Amino acid sequence: MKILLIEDDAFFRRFYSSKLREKNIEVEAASDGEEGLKQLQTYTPDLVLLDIIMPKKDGFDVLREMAQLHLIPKIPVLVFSTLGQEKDIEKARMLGARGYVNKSFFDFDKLYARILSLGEK
Amino acid sequence: MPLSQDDQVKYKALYLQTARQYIDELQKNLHQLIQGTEIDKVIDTLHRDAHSLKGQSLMMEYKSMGTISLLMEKIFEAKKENKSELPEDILVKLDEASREMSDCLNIIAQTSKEKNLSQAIESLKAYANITI
Repeated sequence: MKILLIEDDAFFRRFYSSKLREKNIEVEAASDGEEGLKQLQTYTPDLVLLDIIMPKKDGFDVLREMAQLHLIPKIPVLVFSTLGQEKDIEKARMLGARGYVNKSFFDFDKLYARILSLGEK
Repeated sequence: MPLSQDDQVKYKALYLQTARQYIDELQKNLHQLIQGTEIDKVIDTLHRDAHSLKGQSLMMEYKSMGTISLLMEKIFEAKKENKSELPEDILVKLDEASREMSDCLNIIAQTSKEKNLSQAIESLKAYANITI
């Protein structure tokens, strides 16, 4: 299982990368949308974990460009959200995201089950 | 699900380091706004910093830090979307709140507990246009 984690916050990037690697998941990380899209040119993950509010290109830009490149729906995308982002989640779904993860309420088993189910489809 | 005690200990130093960077950047950009520089890029950065600070504070279960960051995020979001302005009285309150947050981080570093931020939270609630 290979995951591309696109997240500008160093705290979350390090936390989630470490937790996923503990489960033997291969993780590549990008620190903004632009870098994430660049990595998608050479790296084909089974799933993308995508933050929404980021510099350079935000999560919506990434979803739009992934769709233009026909990477959606081929590669499932879960967006990272936190408290107060209900509108953003809805917008991300409209742009092709398959669901969301509340990144502030860490429940690894739930996240892992979700990742496996999407990665296997 | 609450973060395990082991993870809270393991990630506390990283939280303090990144949260301090966000607060320093918040203060620097707020001072630019107070001095009259109002550019979209500054508002974007303030919004992102408050958003990131909110997420990681809530994850570490520093609820007051998370709440105050959420209020800041909503204030900057409304400005970004041209739904409100940022007059000087709000900027002063935001600056005061950022200093309270900075003090709070020092207390977390020493005791792992938060400072009481209720006064700063109340002072921003009226401007954030959300119910907490």
